[in-house]
Parts: sequence; C-alpha cells; structure tokens
Amino acid sequence: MKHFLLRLALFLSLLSLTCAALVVGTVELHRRTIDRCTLGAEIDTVIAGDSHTMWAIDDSQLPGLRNISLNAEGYRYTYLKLRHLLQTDHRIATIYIGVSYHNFAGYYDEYIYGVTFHDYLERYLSLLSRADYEGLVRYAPQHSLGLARSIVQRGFRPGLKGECLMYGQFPAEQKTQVFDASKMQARLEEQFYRSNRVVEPSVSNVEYLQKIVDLCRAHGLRVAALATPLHPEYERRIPASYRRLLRHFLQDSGLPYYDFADLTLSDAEFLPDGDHTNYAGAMTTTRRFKRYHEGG
Amino acid sequence: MLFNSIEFAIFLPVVFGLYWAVPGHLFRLRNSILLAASYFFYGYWDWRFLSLIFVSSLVDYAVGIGLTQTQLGGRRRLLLLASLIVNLGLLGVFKYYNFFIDNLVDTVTFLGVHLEPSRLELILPVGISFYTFQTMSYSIDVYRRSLKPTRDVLAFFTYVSFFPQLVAGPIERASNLLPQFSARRRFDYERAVDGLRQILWGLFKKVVIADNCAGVVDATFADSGAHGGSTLLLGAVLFAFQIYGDFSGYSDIAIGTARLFDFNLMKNFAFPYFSRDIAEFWRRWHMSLTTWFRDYLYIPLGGSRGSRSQTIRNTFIVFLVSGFWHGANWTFIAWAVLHTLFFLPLLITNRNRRHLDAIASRFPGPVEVLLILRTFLLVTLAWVFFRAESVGDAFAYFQGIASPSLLSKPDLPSKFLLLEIALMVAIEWLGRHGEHGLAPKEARFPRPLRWGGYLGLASLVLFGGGGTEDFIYFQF
Repeated sequence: MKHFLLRLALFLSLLSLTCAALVVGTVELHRRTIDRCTLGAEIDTVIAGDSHTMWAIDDSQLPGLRNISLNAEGYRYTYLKLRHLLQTDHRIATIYIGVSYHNFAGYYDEYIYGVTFHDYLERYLSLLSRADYEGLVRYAPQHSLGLARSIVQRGFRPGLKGECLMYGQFPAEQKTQVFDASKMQARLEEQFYRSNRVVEPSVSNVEYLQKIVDLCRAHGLRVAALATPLHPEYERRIPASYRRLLRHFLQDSGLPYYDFADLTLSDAEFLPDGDHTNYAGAMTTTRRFKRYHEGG
Repeated sequence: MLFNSIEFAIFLPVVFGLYWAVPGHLFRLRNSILLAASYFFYGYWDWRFLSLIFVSSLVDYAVGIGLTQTQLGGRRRLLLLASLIVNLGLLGVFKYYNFFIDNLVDTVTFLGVHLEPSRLELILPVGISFYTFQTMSYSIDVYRRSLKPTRDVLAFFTYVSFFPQLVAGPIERASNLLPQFSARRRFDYERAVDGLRQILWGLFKKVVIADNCAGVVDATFADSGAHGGSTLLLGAVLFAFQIYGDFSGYSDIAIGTARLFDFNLMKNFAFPYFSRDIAEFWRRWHMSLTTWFRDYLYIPLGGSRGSRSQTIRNTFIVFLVSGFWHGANWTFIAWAVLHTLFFLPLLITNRNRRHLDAIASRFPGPVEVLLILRTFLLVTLAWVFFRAESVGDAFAYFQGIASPSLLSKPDLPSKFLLLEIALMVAIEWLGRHGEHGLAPKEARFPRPLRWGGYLGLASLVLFGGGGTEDFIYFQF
C-alpha cells in the first residue's frame, strides 16, 4: 500500500507540474504575441463596450472607425484593452464608450470575476497581470481548477496560432429575432432584480468606467458616452436608483452623451430582450450614429 | 454523483482510505463502509430513490431465504414470481407506465374511442434498469439452484448497491460478485495500479471523446434539415464514438474503481468497433446485458435448441426486449429490429460464430478492414434510431443522408477531436487482447514512455474535455 501511495503521489505531483506548465505556457503564448494586436494605421476612432454596442453599430459602414466591443465585457477589461491600444495605435483620436444602465448593475461582477468570465477569458490572457489572476482565484477559490482548465482549454489553440482576440467588431451573423415581452421581463430580472429587490451596483464597473475616462483624457483623446437604443418598455422599468447613478456619472464626468433619444425603433428592430438591437435595428442605429459621428 | 466530477474525486480517496484502514479480517466492517458509501453515492443524486434500492434488495434477500426453506415447486415458483413482480413492477411504473398509457390512448383514439387516463409525473430513478436486473438474476439463480442463497444481509445489500457499478453496470451476476463480499480482501499493488489505468482510460473516453463529440452530435441531430448528407453521416459516426466513449468509459471507470477495493467486475466491452460482423459486435458490446438476456431469456425460451424458426423467434424476442430495456420509446424498438435484421442472415446461414477471437495479426488484412468498416457502418446507421427523438426524426435523418449532398464535403468538427478519436482507436487496437485499452504494456513500452502517455492522457482529461455531460446510460 505504501509503495502504491508513493507512486500515486509521484504521479499526481508530475501531473500538477504538467498542468501548471500548461497554464503558464498558455498565458505566455498570448503574452508573446500581444504585439500583433494592433488595429492598423487607418483607424482613428474606436467604439468600446459590450454586446450592446457590438451588435448596434456596423463599423464596416464607417471608414476609419473600428467597433472593438465584445459581448459580456466588463469595464475592467475594456480599460486593459484601451491601455494596450493607446500604447500601440497612436493615431487613435476618438473613443466612444458604451454606457447604459445595465453596465452599473451588480450582475455584471459574475462576468468580470466569476465563473461566467471563464467562458470569455481567452480574449484577455495577454492583458492580465499575475495580480489579476490571483484576484480571479480569490473571488471564486472553489473554481480555481475550472479557471486553470478554461485558460488552457480556451486559450491554448489561439495562443499557438498567435490570434488576437481582444478586439471585436460588428458580427457577420445577422440576428433576426424580434422583441418578446416575456424575454424582456426575464432579462430585467437577471440584470436589476433579485428576489424582488433591486441589486447593488457593480463596484468594479463604476470604478473602471471612471478609469477609462481618465485614461482617455490623459492621452488627450476625445471621449464620449454612447447608449444604444432600448425598447421603451424596457427603459420604463429601469430602477430609479440606476437612472440616478447614470445621471450623476454623466454630470460628474462631463462626458458628451449620445443616447439615440431622437430615434424610435419598432419592436421588429429589437432582439427579444428589448435590450439589444437586432440586425435591422443595427442598420437604423448605424445610419443615425454615422450622422452624429460625422457631425462631430 | 458523476464519476467525472470534483465530488467523486473527493469521495473516492476518502472511501478508499477508510476501507483499507480497516484490518483485513474485519471484512464485514469493510462491507459496512462500502454500503454506507454506496448509499451516499446514490443518495447524493436524490436520496428519496434510495428506498427503491432498499425495497428491491430486501425483497430479493427475503426471496432467497424463502427459497432455501421450501422444496415445494409451487411455493418456490410463487417466491420467484414475487421477486419478478416487485422488480419488474418498479421498472414498469417508473419507466414504462406512461409509454403504455400514451400508446393505449393513441390506439383507442384510432379506433374512435375517447379515453383520458391519468399519466404519472415521475422522475426515472437513475440506474433502475441495472440494479433491478442484478437483483432479479440473484433470485432466478437461487430458484434454479445454481447459486446458494446468502444469509449475510450486509453482503447482499452491498452487492446490490455497490457504488462503482450501481447506476450503469456492468450488470453483475450474484455468482461472480456476491462471494467476493464474503471473502477477505487484500490490497494488491498490481491490481490497484491497473485499476487506476482503467479509470484513466475510462475518463479519457468519457470526458475527451464522448463529451467533445456531444456538442457536434447534438447540433446535427437537433436540426437535421439544416445539414447536408455528408455532415449528417459524419454526425451519426460521431454519435457512434460518443456512445461508445460514454458507456464503455463508464464501465472502465466502474471496473477500475472496483479493482481499487479488490473486487473483480465482469468485462462489459471488448473493443466492439473492431468486430467483423454484427454477431461479433453483440458478443463485444454491453456484454453484461447481452449475457444476461442470453442466460435468463434466450436459453429459457429454448435458445438454439429447437427448429430454425424457433431460434429466429427467440433471437427476435431477445433483441426486441433488449431494445425495450433501453427505453420506453419506439426508437429503441426500431433500433432493435434493425439489429435483428442485420443479425438474422448470419444466423440463418450459420455464420454467426465465425469471429470469436480478436484479430491476432498486428494489422488487419484488407478483407478484415472491409468487414470491420461494414459492421461499423451498419451499427452507425442503427444508432440513428437510438439517438433520434422519434422514429419520424430518424427517417428524416436518413432521408437527409441519402441526398445528393452526401457526396459534398461535410462540415468537419475540430481537427483536435478527430485526432483524439484516432488516438483512442489506435490505443484500443494495441490493447485489444487485454482487459482495457491501457492494460499493462510493460513489455512493449519503457516506463518513461508509459508515464509520459499517462500524463498526456490525464492532461487531456483535465483540459481537453467537453462540458460535464451526464452519462447517456444513466437514463436507462
């Protein structure tokens, strides 16, 4: 038995070393190829944000602009992306930041630190510092193994190929589903309500949104907040505390804010949750945004 | 509790430590630990269904005792009948009641009669088809006087609920497993190490092969109309690997785990996809169920002792019951009928026992390759019925395959998955004469190479797996 346990311990130690090497190696692969992550000389304007901006503005119709938004992206990661971008792409002059009520809601923390983040982390492997990884482990220590697994499982192949995953763009897939009140209700409950109580705001998103603004201003960029269209029924049911939060942020930061208030979309232009535009809605929104953007 | 879960990774070493900490002569205490662990293992999923295992165990234990106390044929038959009624009754209520009711309603509606019987809203208890068959085999063997009944209630209850094989087999015979609970067990280094190898191999097949195939297969079967014929055929092939990886992987983990406790479970799979005809396939696939039906259904029906037509009838019945055992759905019946149609030509021409041993040569000859591919193709086509939600869906799937797009380039899954499947096939080919894919190969490979291979496989299990899917056979 003793011999068996010793051999088993030896095997498990070697396995642990192999696993550690795979995790560290995967991260290192991404770090080594980060220099390839550039947008190109023709880009001077970017839109950064999450799925709301990602699915609302078709950057192929806007020369010189790249929509680098990615779905489920917390401001913490947008900040790290922009910090890298401003070091590599010196022609960037304007940044639009997607800002809406949901960005302030606490449900987002799961997308920033929690298990849900594991499904997206390959995009940011090159950007995270050791302290960031430690923070992820501290947030959900019981999922440390899952974190290591996700790093290798999701990051190894792109790392090997030297793919840059941190910059998104308007998706090729044309989403055609339309508004559905029951889906909107579920979405509102996911974002703003827990057991019939309004959820606490996301401390991380509030903090990093301010950091993004400070970073852009420190680089002398023009920065504006952009809120993509919301279904009127969805917007009506946003908790008052979140309305105040957004209003105060905009007042305090002094950011120009464009919320497409002058644009009315039909039910057929929203995705079922009423929170995102579908492809038809994106085309309408892009046309209006183009006028706004070109008008300065 | 799933074998491929963190919970089991904690549970197994704890039970292993407690079990071997008990001195060898106190084997009843070891049985108590295994019984408690097994009930915890099962109850972790849903403790309410422990009562079913308890009742099934109690009835068959009592029937066994009762059969020793009477020599009267009539009373003995009654006792056996009691066991069959309880076990098949449990199965009938939980697994088949709604199926029969739905079909009854469909039939009488077709005849113009309106009927509204109530359906039962029941969850199918995990593994019920496995442990009820296991307990029934005990009562039947005791009734036939081919097995001495046990008076050791602890050993019997542990035999029924032994956690490695409780929920998805192998379906053990009391004659093989029960005596092991009444004997002193000694820790055997070689056996334990081989048990770990078999667990690793089972995990690889389940987590890396089956779970990665699952995503592609689910997408293909969910909307067969959206895919071309070649992609649908590839989806069926991947399902063949998925179900093999899933079920034989479970069996390997079960057998390997039992070995850690010095128990020998029966072999359940013998590399069935290397079979050269359907008869050989059925001697190598889910062997514990196939032999169960052979011993307790086919032979009592007369087996092959009667006329040719009786043999054909008996074979047909066994396939049909086997299909129905898998689930209360016409798809399983269709699957079974298709296999019968594949099997009967071999039976009629007396060629069903041509291939009894694995291919001996290092590589198969061209004819053997063709035979293996033909058998695999037939089995794969039959799997379409097994996987489809309904017989109509299966026919739509076949229709999709048999379209001009069969000759187009399929939507290929990731190269990694294809490489992993190739790796599995290669390792199984090398290990086809052994108990499992990783059975000792000391003579062939030096230790550093073997350990490197084990580390590689373990890393793939940890990092290369799909989502944590349930084992397919849990539903049966």
